Amino acid sequence: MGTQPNLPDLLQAIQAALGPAILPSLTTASAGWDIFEAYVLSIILEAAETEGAAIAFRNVDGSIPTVFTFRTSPGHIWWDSQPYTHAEIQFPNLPLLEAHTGVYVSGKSGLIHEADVLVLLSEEAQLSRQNQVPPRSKRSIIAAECKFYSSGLRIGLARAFVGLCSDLSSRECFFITNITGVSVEKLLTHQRKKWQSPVQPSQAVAVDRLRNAVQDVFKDFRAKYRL
Amino acid sequence: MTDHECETAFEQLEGAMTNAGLLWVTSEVNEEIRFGRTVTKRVSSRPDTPEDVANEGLTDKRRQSKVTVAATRPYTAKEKLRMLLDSLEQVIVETQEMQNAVKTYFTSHAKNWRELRLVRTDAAGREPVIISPTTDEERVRGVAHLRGLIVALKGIASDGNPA
Repeated sequence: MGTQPNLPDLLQAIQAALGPAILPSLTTASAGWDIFEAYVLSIILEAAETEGAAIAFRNVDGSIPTVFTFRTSPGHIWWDSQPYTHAEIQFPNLPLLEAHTGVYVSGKSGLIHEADVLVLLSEEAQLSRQNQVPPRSKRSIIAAECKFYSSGLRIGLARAFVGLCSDLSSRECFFITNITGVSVEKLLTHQRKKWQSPVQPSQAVAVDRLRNAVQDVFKDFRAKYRL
Repeated sequence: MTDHECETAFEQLEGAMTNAGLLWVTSEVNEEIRFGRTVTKRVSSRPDTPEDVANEGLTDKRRQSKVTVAATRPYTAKEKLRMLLDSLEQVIVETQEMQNAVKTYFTSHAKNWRELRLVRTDAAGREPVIISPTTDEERVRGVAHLRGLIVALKGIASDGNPA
C-alpha cells in the first residue's frame, strides 16, 4: 500500500509544476478557445472521411498549404490579410463542400453572425469570395458554436445559441463545449437544439457521439444530393 | 481532508495559478462559486393563507402542496477545491491532448506540413497559437507530471471516494 503524499508538499509540487506545463499562450482564455475550435474541426473532418469523403486543404488564394492558418476570431471568408486555410470535403459524385473556422455567415433576417466552424457548399463559398458577401446560412450544412471554458458554463451561452439558431438556416447547428453545464444542457434539450459535451480527448464517449452526429449530417447530405 | 484543509489548499492553488498567468481560469471558477451549485428544492406552491381567512378543512390540503423548483446552494469547501483542480486539468492537460489530436489528424492528412497557426485578429498583440508536427518533449513531460499531481490531490480531497 502506497503512502499518501503530504498535502503541503503536494501543493508545493503543483506550484512548481505549473510553469513547465503551461503553454505561454494559455495565459489568455482565447488560446483555449482556439485550440478547441481546431480540435472540433478535426473531429468534423474525421466524420466526413468516415462517411467516404476525401479531405484536402487549400488557402484563400487557392494554393496548397504546408503552413495551415486557421482564423479563430470572426472574419470574412474572402479576407486574405493572412493565407487563411480551409478544408475541402469531396464525397464521390457530390458537390464539393468546404469547412472553415471563424467566419461570418448571413442569417434568414439578413443579419450577419459568426460561426466557429462552418461547413458549406463550395459553390456558395466561391460566390462569397468573388462577390465579397458573407455566405448564406441556407447553403451551409453544419454551423458549430464551440465554447471552451475552464468551469461554469453559464445559461446565457445557451440563450444566445437558441437565438442564433432561430436566424440561421444551416441544416444543422451544434453547440459544442468541452465541459458540461446542467442549466445549459437542460435549456438546449428543452428547446430541441443539438448540443454535445463534454467534448475533450479524455471523454471518448462524448467525442464519438459528436462524430456520429456529424456523420449523420453528412449521410443526409449524400442522400439529398445523390443523383 | 477537513474543510479547513480544503480551503487552505484552494487559496494556495488559486494563488499559484494566478501567479502562473491563469487569472482567467481562477476568475471563471470564482464566478461559478459566486453563482452557487444548482439544485432543486421542494417549496410550497402557495403562500401561507392568512389566519383570518383560514378555514380548516378547506385550506389545509392546499397548504401542503409542494412544487420542485431550481435553486442554488453554496459550494462546499471540498467542491470548490475539486472545481479548481478540474479547471486546471481542463486548461493544461486537456488542451495538450487536444493539440495532440489535431497534430495526429494533420500528420495523417497532409504531407510535409510545417505548422498550424491559429490566428486571432481580435486580440491585439497576441501571438498565434502554433501547433507543430514535432513534439515538445519537455512540455509533454511537464504536463504528464502535473496531471499526476492533480490526480493525487483529487484523491486526497475525495478521501478515497470518487467525486
